Amino acid sequence: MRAEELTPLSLRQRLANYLVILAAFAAVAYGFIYRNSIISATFPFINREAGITARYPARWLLDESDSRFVLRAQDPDTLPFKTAIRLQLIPIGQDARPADILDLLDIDRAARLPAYRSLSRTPTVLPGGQRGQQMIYAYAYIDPNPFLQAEPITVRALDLVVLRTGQAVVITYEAKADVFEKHKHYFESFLRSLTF
Amino acid sequence: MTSQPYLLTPQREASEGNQSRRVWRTAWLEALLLLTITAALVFGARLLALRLPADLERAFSFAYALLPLGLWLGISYAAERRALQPRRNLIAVVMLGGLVASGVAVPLSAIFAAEEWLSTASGLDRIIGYTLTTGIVHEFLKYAVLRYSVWRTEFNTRLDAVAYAIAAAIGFATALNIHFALNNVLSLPSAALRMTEITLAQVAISPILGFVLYELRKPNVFVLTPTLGLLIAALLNALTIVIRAGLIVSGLSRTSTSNNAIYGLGMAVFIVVVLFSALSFLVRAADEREMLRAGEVR
Repeated sequence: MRAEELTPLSLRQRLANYLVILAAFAAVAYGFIYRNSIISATFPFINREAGITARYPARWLLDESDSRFVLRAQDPDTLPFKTAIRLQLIPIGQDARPADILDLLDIDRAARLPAYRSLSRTPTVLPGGQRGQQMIYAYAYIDPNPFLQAEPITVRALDLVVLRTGQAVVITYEAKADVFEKHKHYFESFLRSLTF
Repeated sequence: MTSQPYLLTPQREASEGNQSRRVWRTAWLEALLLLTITAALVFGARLLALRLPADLERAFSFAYALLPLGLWLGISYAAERRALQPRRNLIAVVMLGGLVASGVAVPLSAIFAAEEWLSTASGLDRIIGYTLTTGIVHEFLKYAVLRYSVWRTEFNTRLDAVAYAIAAAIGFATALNIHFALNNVLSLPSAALRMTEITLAQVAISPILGFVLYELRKPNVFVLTPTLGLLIAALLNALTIVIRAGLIVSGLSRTSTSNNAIYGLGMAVFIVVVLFSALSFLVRAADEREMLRAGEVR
């Protein structure tokens, strides 16, 4: 052992070393905050004609061109099936109930989507206090491009129906079955920001 | 009475350079050899249109992950053992570097999952994001390995610090390479390119840590020097990731993008040349300044 090994560290040396440790831990902690700020960043969506405002994830692609939906936001990173949030308005009669709308969607999807299965229906309350009903269902998504030769993907989705004067607001969240729960926080954030 | 033996040539004064291995020379040689082997493999595979069975390709990828360690053992460590005053515990530092990489860096990277949320972020967000996650974790772990193993006993010169920092980086990069080879299904040339980039980036940045850790040996060290060194190393680590990702996407058109991984190697070569040159100059200049100051004091 060399003599200089035994010399105790000076105050500056100890302080410098503690500062490195502190800086590293602070940077990692801020890294987590930074990560969350990027993941949970949102852009505003305003449709005055439909009287709807919401905030959708900033990294997602917004589509308003489809006449069937007021809004469709998709996560471009979740290929081969893009996680999506859709909002559509369906005209309804005076005595319509949320369950009737779900029945209608059920029949439509059973005819359209391969291996479609309705899994559950439960009453629900939106963060804004509106009462509605939600339905969870699953189906097999088959890529329309035959040259990709892709296997069918199991998709899990959720419909949330809320009634307002003369219209049913249907909010749909769908994702690949294995990431359905993982990405659900996007949908919950969307619901919290939704006003109509 | 004893008599001095008569020598035909005058006895050389045993300087620091003669007693220990020449760190920069062996580091340059290793980097050059690694680059040459990788380039030969990539261009050879393209020329011969080489297609290996998947299992064989994985086995070769795994072997390639160990190549930087093999080069370090064959060049640096062998030279160290031939030196008059070899540096001790280099193998222990390599092993510690590998252990912290596989035990801490890899699991933490999985938790951060930086590729998932930074892949579509803006350039500045990517640089900040990678600095605060992958960069700081990698560099702090290497710092901790050096600081709490050989710093007090073996850091006698700046070149010692550089030699141990490179040893820690070699262990660290080897563990990252093994993890990469076991968890990715890539052709051998693509895997070799990626592992070469990982190794060269780790090795090129590590002397910064050695440099600031040597400064920490001085009782009157400026208290922010090690912290600034760590942050600069983390930023450079992040820049290698971000710039590489930008370089490998080439041939962007309206219908498709093509990928040319060989451009990623350009980034690794650039960082090795720039950092090795800059740090060898800094080390030499600082040593000379100290020698002059010591001469003035006498």
